[in-house]
Amino acid sequence: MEIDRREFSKLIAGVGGALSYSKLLGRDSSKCGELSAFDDVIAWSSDKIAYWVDGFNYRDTELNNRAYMAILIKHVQNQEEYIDKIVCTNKDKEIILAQYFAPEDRISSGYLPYILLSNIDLSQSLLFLYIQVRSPTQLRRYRYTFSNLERSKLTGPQLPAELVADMRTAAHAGIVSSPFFLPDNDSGLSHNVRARLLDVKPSGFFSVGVEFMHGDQDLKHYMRYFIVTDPVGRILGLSKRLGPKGYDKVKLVLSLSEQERNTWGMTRNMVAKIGDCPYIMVFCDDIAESLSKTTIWLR
Amino acid sequence: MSTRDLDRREVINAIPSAAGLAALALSGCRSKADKTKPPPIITTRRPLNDSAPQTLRSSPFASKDSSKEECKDVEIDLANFDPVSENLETKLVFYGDSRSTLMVLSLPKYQHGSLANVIIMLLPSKRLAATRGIFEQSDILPDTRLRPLAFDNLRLKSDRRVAILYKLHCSECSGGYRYLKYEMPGELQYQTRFLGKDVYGATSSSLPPAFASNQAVVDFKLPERDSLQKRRGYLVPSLDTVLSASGLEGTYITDLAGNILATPNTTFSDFLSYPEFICYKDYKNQYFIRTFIRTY
Repeated sequence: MEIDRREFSKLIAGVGGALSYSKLLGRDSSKCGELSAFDDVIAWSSDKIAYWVDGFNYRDTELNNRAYMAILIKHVQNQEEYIDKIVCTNKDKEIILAQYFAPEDRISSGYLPYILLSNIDLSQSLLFLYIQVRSPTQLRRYRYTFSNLERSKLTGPQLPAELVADMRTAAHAGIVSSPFFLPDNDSGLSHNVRARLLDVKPSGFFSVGVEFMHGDQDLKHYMRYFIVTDPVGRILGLSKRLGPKGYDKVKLVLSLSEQERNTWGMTRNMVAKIGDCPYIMVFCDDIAESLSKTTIWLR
Repeated sequence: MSTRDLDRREVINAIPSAAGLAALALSGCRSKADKTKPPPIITTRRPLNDSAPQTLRSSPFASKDSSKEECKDVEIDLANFDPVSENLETKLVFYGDSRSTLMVLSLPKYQHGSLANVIIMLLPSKRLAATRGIFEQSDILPDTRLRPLAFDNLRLKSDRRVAILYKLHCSECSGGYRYLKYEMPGELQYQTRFLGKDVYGATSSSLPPAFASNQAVVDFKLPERDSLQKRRGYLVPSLDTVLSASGLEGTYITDLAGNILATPNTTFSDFLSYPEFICYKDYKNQYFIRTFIRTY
């Protein structure tokens, strides 16, 4: 039987393709328990994904758009059901990144490992993430649509409610500055986060020393939060100062304890493990001027 | 195969899975000059109703017997792809460990023209790890060289080698594309040496000796405020923006591909072109402490 090249490729590219082929031949697809029919992609629920956008992703600038994106797909990988392929495309359906996985590809929570995209063009309004979930009897394909992606704010649903409320009422409103993205005020230029990884253990314990960006000014102008997160902004550890007192040049942020997690009203799924992270993000919150960030790679 | 003209729900089918790649190779994505060569061999894993492996020299679906293979994986036989030409000479650098690898791919001699996709295959398992599209806006430098491509958080497991398949536009090829391969000559080595000395970097479970006090911590300054553009209450860089930094004194700076950008005696300031770079700090002339830096 002659099949034209494109059709042929579509047919056998992946298990779904094989099913199409069996349909083409008029055979019963149930002959192979690995396969089952599907007619369309299913929407991937927004509560099953977390992501962080960074990099040169500014509107209306002369710079090329070169963004960085970390994605966490909250799907527990096991032998019975696992994601075996993810495909990220732009709105023209050109492949930006595809990655392939096995059931054992998972982090401590059971989720898929972080997907990291470097130097990608997010100037288009839409980005699609296709997720293929395989089980012994089914193959399901999902799609999550990202629209109008901007640099991420530290106000996402993965964070404790109190922190989000505090961020929203600060002058920076949770917008994260960097050496290339600064608040348009007189002091913004010197707000760098200087952070050092001081200790990390196989148990998941860690200690990060974060320097104050400057001294306490007054009741409405001081360093309030010191936060360490995973690549998608989930909390690894945090410390909140209740006012401009106890200035000590360096604030230690330790891995979040169970007691602290409960105090902050966070579920276990909201808290990350450093052992799963290829890098961590460190934030320092100056209520009056800037929310700044640095990154510590674990390489 | 272009994904441009595919129906949305079919786009995932267009992604090169092992089977898809093999199909492309089988079905004419070879240059016209290569047509004298025999078609690629595809070896299927244990067919459904037959424990003996099969080797096929034509479309596996063209023969009646081949219907048995409908549920099986199809392996790519790299022997059937032509090796890369000189301008696709490939340099690979590995950081991390087999549980979480950062692989950086660079093509020092390549001037952008026809490269569409880069496909990473792990060996000896022949698992596909990733496929990356190449985009002019974000991946190509102004001088048309390719920016090093980072494939991060890969799980290599027991695989110790990598093969790269380059998918290139080819107007002479039926289908519009052809593939060239690069196979690592030996087993991969993680970057644990720099300028002849051992290198230590942080991992997610341990710190090297002296890392806590010797990791690079950088202060960036923007001396030319006029070079910034105002965007909704924030300042963003322009092409003229020049950052300066303190904290990099006494360090070697490389890009992610390992190319030295600055030595301890020189100043580095091209942070716009290199928003990610690596610092190597000599510790008592014994070893280097490695720190990755991101400016964005």
